[in-house]
Amino acid sequence: MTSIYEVLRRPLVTEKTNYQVNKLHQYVFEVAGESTRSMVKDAVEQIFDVKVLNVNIINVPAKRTRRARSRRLAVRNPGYKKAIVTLAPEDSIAIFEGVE
Amino acid sequence: MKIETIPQEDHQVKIEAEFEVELFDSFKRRAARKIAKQAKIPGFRPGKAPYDVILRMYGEGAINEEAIELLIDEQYTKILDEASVTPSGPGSLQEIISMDPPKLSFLVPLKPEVELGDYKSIELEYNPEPVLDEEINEFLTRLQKNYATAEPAEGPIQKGDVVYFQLTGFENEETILEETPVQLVIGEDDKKDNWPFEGFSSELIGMNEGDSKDIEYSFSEDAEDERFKGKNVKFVANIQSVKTLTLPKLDDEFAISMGQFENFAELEQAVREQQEMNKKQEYDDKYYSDLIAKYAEISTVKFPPFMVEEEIEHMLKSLERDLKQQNLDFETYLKLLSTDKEKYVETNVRPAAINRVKSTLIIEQVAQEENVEVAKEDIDGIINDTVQMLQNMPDQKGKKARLNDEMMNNVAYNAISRLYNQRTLERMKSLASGEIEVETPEEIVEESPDDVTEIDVEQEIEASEETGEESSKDATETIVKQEIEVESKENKQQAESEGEDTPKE
Repeated sequence: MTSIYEVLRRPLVTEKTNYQVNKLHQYVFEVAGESTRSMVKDAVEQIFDVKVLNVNIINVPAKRTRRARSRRLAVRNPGYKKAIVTLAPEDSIAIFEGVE
Repeated sequence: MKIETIPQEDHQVKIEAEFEVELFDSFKRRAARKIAKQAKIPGFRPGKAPYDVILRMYGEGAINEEAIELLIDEQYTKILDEASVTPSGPGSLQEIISMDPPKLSFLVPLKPEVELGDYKSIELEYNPEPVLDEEINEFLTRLQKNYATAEPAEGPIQKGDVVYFQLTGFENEETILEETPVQLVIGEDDKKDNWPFEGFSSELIGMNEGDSKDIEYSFSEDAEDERFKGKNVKFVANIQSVKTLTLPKLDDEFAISMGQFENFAELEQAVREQQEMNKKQEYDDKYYSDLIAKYAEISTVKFPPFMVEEEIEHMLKSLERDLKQQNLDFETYLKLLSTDKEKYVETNVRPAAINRVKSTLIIEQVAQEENVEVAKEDIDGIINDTVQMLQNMPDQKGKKARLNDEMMNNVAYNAISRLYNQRTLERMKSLASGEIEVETPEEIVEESPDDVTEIDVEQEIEASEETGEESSKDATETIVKQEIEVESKENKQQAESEGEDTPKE
């Protein structure tokens, strides 16, 4: 990996992450498969100019589902690596709070 | 909430309402929640997405739109209350003047206003023309002709015969009219005689079966038939058959053959009644429309334009229905008239619609001012009739009872309003034709004080002796009172029963 800009793939915005943002001050990203905690920490601190207290990482396993229309066809959802970043209480990341 | 009202020229009111930002924000949140419920947003169950996410997904415009809709739904009555406007129909959002702070303007149609003017002074004589014997005779001869029997005639063509012939037309060796079979009654004054030209049929008099005759005729430029315009045409008529018409005698036998009559007098009577009814109907229609026109002249009627639009809609619908019965499409009908819909509406429908709205409003107002009432018995009768009518309708059996109820209500309501209209019109008629010169209630008012003063004077003079007179005065008074009471009771009943019977809008 050459730069920190390849670490973070996208923010995850779901009901659960919404809760995490509001109650736990944790921000959740999908990250590149080969990234580590320290890489995520560096990337988030540099890109969003915040202080990261803690990074949890989990490998979300691939899952098999069926297609909605032709229910016989099985589809594989690729897995991804998820990073849950806890920020310092005074910091926040704008993209999770509405308009960028 | 700040509200401004601006009256418009066409009997509408423009209301400008400005809302507080906080109020609108709460509506925005509700709108977002409402959108979320229907939206599929990945990562969120329906209805669980937060405001920001909705905003990002759908944009501010969608939320504002929804919010304004909700706002109007909820606040519209309040706005009307605060602007103290009584609307006659649904108002419409005219313009969103600004979003921050939210300021909206509505166009609200006002209740129609009718000022009748001095309608009691209107005079229009009501005298339907009696049916003349000639008219009946004419009808009978027509009937007679319809039932005439045709028999092969011997000898040349005479007046009154039916002639079948082939007609061919040339102009300088060029065939204009291919061989066409024609049937003519010789010497009749009706239109058939005018084809191909006036007096054609009399040219055939004296010919025999199998004969043919050349007839030349030069048509003028304004001939009815396009093919013959301005041409010098040579016709060849080839007589095929000649038949004499034998008219049935107008006697009892004829009457019996018509069915349902026993003798000629009865038939004649039936014809007379029919004619009388037709004529009266015709006259009534004309009379009432004249009368209403007179009313309209002296009264000022103000109504919002949406009523006219509604009427136009209504008229177009019924026109379409009529056309359908003639197997005509509305579009093709317009093409026949070589107009388009807008033009047609503007030129033909709109003026009529305006008139109709006016006259209904006038009739309503007259009914109110003249206290026209429909008695409870009448309403009961109508309802009974409709019930019976609907029960007799066979194809209602399979359907739900509720539909029946609805239909019954509708039919009864229509019948009642028709009756009400009729009563009003009759009242208008009797006012205009001078049947009722002075109003009945006025009469009472005029008379009774006179009586009282007389009695008073008498009482003053012979106070001690005239006890009998006094008691009689009491009696009259009580009678009048009772009458008034009875009337008011009736009114109440009327109001109640109307409340029950009128279907909910």
